Amino acid sequence: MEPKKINVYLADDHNVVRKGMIRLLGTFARVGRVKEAANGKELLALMAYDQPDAVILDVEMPVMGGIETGKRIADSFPNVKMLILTMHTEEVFINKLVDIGIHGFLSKSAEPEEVERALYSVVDKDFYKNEIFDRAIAMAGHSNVEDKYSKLTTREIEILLLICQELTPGEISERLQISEKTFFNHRSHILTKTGVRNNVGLIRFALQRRLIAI
Amino acid sequence: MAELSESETIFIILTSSAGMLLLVGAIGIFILFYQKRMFKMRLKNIETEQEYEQNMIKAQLKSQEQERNRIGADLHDSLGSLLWAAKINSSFIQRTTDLQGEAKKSYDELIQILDQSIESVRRISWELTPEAFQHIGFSKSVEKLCQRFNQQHLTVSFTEMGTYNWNNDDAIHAYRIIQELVSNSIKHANATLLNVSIQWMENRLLIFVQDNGIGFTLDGNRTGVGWWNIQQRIKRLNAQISMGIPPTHQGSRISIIIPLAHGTEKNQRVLG
Amino acid sequence: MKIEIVVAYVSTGSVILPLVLAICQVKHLQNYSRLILLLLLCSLLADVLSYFLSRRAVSTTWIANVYLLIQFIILGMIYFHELKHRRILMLIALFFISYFVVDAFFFSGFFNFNTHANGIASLILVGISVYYLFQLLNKLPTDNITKMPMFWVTFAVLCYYGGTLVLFLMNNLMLGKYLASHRMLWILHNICNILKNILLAIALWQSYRNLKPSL
Repeated sequence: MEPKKINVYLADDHNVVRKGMIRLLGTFARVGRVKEAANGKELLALMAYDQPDAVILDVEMPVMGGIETGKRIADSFPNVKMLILTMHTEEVFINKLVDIGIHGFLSKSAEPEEVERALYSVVDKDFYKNEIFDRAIAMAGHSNVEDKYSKLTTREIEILLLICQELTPGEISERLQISEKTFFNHRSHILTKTGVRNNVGLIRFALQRRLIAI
Repeated sequence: MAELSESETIFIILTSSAGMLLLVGAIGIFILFYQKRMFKMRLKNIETEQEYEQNMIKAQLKSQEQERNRIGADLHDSLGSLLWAAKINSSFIQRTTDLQGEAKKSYDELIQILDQSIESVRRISWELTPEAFQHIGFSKSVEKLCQRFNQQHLTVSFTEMGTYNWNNDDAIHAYRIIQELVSNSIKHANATLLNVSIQWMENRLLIFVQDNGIGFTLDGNRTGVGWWNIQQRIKRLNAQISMGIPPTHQGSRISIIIPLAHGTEKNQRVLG
Repeated sequence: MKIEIVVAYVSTGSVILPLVLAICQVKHLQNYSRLILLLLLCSLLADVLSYFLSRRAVSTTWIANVYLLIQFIILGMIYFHELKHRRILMLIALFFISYFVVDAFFFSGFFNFNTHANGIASLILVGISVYYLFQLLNKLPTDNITKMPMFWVTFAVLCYYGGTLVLFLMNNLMLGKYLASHRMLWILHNICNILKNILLAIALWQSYRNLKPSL
């Protein structure tokens, strides 16, 4: 079965970046509709009308920047995957974005090919793992965070670990012999119990609880 | 002139002499008090002048910092974005065109140029503004600085004794001093080993920048803007700087002692 | 004993105090202190000489004249070193000295007290010392001016010459008419002399204290 086309919206204040990205996205096999916005406010206006599968956000934008936009999208459109494009890759900054619920992080000095990989990854697995991500999560793993969380059931921990191994929902359901719907149920329970917004948060959580090691 | 009687003469002499003595006494006392007051005023003037000078320097350094931040951020964000757009477009070209021969070579070079440009932008803007200094603090920033300067012919190492979370304005000054010293050393000293070591003491910070290069010449290198910057920042921090020879007898070693506002013991317990 | 004689002896004796202090630091003396030492020695010499001569009923006025001239010269030299506008000083001093000599030999006579000359001497020195004090104000070398020996020297000069100015001027008049009172009034001079020596002693003592850190 051919995977559904991914609709992508992108927001960046530089016209040339937008035009270039649209061109590039056009060459990605799985990408469907692409729409552009010059800042967060325009993007939200677009999304109120029709939602995409993923958005690519620049951080530094006038009127409404990437961080604020990210918060709003996470609140209003939790099913939309978010990829952040930024020049600043400090661990503290990235962790802040993880808190907001961003799914993947791309650096503007990376290879543009990575955009395709990242896009597919956040849509399929709810997160994108790269060096930036690893470094930020590793740093988060060292700090002593006081978490309030209810105990996770064994099943939930199982699912958590599989998620951390970068398996897609389909693969996980198949391995555990459960339906995808059940999987998503479990996942939303895990999210509520751990208080994170998406798989990215889960990975960080698992690191902090020493359930996995980098 | 009419004749004066004896008693009158005596009287005149006595009173005028007494008068003179009183006058002299008065002058003496007047001079005494006046001089004291003048001296106090002069001291106060000098104090005010010094304070003014200090404020001037403070403002200068602050504006320098702000300028750097502004330029760094601007460079990073604007130029960075544009170069990224260039890379995107080149990626598009590669995906949609089958490049052969000279065209491919040209394309490859183009990519290289773009990569180098991006790297330069990052490096320059990082030198201007250390990333997230506020967040990661002094120690981490210095460590990153050392990592950055590590090169083929030069090993830059960083050692730290104790820990302390230092990230205020003074910390930036100290960071800049180290930045300047390290880059000076790299430029002039022809060293193969460079070590930056910081030690957190009770209420001071000790910094040692040591290399195994050609050592210092007492003239020459001391007059540039870089050194002036260092001197001003040292003054600003009420710190002391001294230059000497390391225990290995080769190269140079610069020691800086910076007094810290509050003790570092408390922080050590929390973080250590 | 008549009080005037007591005072006279005390006056002579008062030279001893600063003299002793000066001799204590004789190795470390500076310009001005050396000159003061000289002055004190001359003072002592003059008084002793006067004493012996008066015993033999020889007129001693000439000693007073010479002594006062020497005193003027020495003090002038002190200020010569300490002040800036030396040329004017030189001129004034030279003028005065020549006037004094002329007066001594041609007008009043060597054995008479030179009233005019001494009066002018007093004026000149008072003027110089006040000028010096004001110069000191401008320069403000230290925080406590009482630690400067020159301050006390100047003060001494001022006291002495200020107090005796009128006396010198009226001296000959008194000698002519009111001899008895003259002796009484000379007490005034001696008192001023004692005052002067005490202040000089303080000056030398301060000078000694200043030496301490370096000793």
